[in-house]
Amino acid sequence: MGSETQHPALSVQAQSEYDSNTQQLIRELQESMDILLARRGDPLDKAVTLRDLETAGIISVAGGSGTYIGAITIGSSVAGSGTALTLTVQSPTAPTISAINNSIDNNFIRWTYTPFNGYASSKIYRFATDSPGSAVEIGSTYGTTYWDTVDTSVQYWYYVTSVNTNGVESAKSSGVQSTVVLSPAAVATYLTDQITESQLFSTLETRINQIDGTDISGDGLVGETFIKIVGGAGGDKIAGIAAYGGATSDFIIVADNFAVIDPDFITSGATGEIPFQMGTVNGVTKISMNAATYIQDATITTLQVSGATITKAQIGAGDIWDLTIGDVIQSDAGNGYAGNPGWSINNNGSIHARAITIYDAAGNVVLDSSGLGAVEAAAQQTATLAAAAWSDVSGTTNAPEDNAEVNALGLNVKINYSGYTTANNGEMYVHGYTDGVASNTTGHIWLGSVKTSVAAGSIFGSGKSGWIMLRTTGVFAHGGTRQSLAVVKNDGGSWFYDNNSAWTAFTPDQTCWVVGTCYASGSDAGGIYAATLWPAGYSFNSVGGFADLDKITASNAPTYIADLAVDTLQIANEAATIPSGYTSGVTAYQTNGVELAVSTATLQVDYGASAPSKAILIASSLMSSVGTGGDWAAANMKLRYNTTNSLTILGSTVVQQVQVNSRKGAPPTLVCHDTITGWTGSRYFFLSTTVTGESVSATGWWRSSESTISVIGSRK
Amino acid sequence: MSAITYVLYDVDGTVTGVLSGSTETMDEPTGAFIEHVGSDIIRPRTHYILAGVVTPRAALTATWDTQVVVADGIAVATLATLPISCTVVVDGTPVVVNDGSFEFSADAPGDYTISIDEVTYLAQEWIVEAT
Repeated sequence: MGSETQHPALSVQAQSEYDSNTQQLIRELQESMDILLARRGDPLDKAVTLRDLETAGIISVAGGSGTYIGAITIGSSVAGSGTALTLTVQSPTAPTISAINNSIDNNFIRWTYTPFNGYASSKIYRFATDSPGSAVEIGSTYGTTYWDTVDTSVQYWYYVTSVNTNGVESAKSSGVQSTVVLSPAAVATYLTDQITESQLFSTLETRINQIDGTDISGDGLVGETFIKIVGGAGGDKIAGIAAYGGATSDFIIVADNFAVIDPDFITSGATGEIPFQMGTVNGVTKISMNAATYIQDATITTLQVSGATITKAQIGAGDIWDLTIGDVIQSDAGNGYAGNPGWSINNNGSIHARAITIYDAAGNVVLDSSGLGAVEAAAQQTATLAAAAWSDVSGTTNAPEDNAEVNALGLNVKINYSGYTTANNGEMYVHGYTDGVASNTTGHIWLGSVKTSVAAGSIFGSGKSGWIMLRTTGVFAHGGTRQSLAVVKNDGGSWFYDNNSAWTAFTPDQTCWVVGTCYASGSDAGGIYAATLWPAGYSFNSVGGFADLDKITASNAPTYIADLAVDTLQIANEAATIPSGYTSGVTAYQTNGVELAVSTATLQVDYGASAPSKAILIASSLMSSVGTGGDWAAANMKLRYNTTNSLTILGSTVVQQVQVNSRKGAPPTLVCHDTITGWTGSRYFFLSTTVTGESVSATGWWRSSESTISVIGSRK
Repeated sequence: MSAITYVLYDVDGTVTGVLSGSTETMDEPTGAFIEHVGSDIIRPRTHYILAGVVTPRAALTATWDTQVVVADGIAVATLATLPISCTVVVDGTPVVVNDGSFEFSADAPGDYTISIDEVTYLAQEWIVEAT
């Protein structure tokens, strides 16, 4: 036997590179080759070649032309010595396509043909339709298989021919159409639709659900899924999501910066398209929201604003607890200042409002922008013009000049300064307010919960005290410009008003309201010195009499004052003062005929520059005797004063003196008094006594055991 | 305007004067004084100064066994229960008593004035008749 070349079997790895059909074909070819080469099976099936026969001397082969054998002689190796066997090249017949297998990008065509002498090759044709005449040759092969790399998503018709060594081609085989193989895109689409039901998805889902138990980074977070970005500025970075392994489900974003970004930001890079960021923004750890982003329909239990700066806030509805205004809070309509609508509350306590109404719990108006309400009036302390607030009279309008500070009630009164030299001094002028400042304008007052306007004007009077009455119908004929108002009194149940010269009887009705008080000196010349207008009026029959209260008459005798603290009591326009007094103790027995100061100290009385018009002085000395006896003596006591603190008799002034004669054993008690004109500066009062015996010496008889000086005065 | 009372006194606590009035009408006095607060009336005969405090003078508890004696220089009227060490004045003549008892006798008939005016006690005066 001739030498055989041993061919190793095809490796499994090589086979695995092909699809199952190809692998099957290879296995079949390998088995056939192994049998023909006697590597497996019965050795009798081993293939014998012409070379084997010629080498064995069974045949001799004559040379032919081309690639075929000219003649084979059997029985001798010498040419011509045996029987000649001539192989004639035969015409091929049409093969038969046995199968077309395909994959993503090729069709694998297999065919068979009837063996014939002179086989040279097979040709393969392809066309889109079953049209053998139009089919185009796409290749040729010596074998019976062909790989056609083509778009297998399109079906083609294939045809095969056999060609002999003389170039004669057989007819085309019957056409066989390939099947469609899906393109990768189509496969992907198919997988997308089907993968949720696949085992792969199930497996992955299980795996995903199991991302829960491992603390990968050792930071307490479990169930971590991270993306690691290698390199770049700052080195490697890790971002991902994680959850705590505790009892609660906490979803944690692990990142230096977490942001919600408009997709356009990726391409445009516009910073305004990052509505929300949290983490380190511009080097500061914070939560950042784009200026154009706002929170809608959110509830914030506790809002802390660092730096307390909210440039503009709009609170639709909500409660504010413990609001502190650093500067001013105001309406969007304006701050309510002069010329501006709206309102404002400043941190300095000022409130400006162009229109405001305050109600009590019952819904009654307590205060509105034009003044006090009726309810408030009952509790509101009224304002009385003090002397310092008296104002002068305008020479042109006969109205007080606007120079007096008065309480900003709805209506008030000014008193013409009593010292003014023109007419109408000491009389009243009612007025209203403009922006809280007294002005010659209409004011208002509440009458039975009805706000009633009262025009400014003068109320003439003749210096009488009484109620101020406002009547809404009719007038008081007193000559002033505002005759709806007048000073009235109720004397013994009868009503009178001052007609600018005398009390005039009138009968009030329900349109008459008592709205204030007026105190006058009792004469037109002295004028009014105090007046009050109330925020609200009272019915005329709800007030008592106001008869001659500028002086206390006998009718007031049953009235007395109990438990009254008076800071300054005025009596006839003079302020009463605390009486001054000095009581001295015992002095020495006196020498006969020698005047002796019996006061052990002086009594200083100094009214300053406000000297009273009168002062009352009372002095006394209780004389005591050294013994008994019927001898007579005279005791003289003098009330003296110095203008310096001195008990010196010489040069002092005698205010008053008294002298009494008495027996030795019955010394007198000396008492004197006087009323003198007041003085400015200090006076130092003291007492002196002189004991003079009438017929005998009185030396050592009498002395003052106690002496007293009292001074009762007042101050202007 | 406020009322004020100054009480003047000497070294043994005797009140020498009481000054009352308004701070607006008088200045503080000169010499020793204290400012008295209260509405009670202070007088030299009824009060004295004890350790800087205005103190009422107490009533004497002294009693006579008789206030009528025979003017023979022998009969005696005794004033007992006197403060230990006090001065009894007989018609202007002071007598110091150290044992709490004062015995009075007279040679000539007449009324004799006997008084005691100690700083801490209310002054008291008696008339003893010698017959």
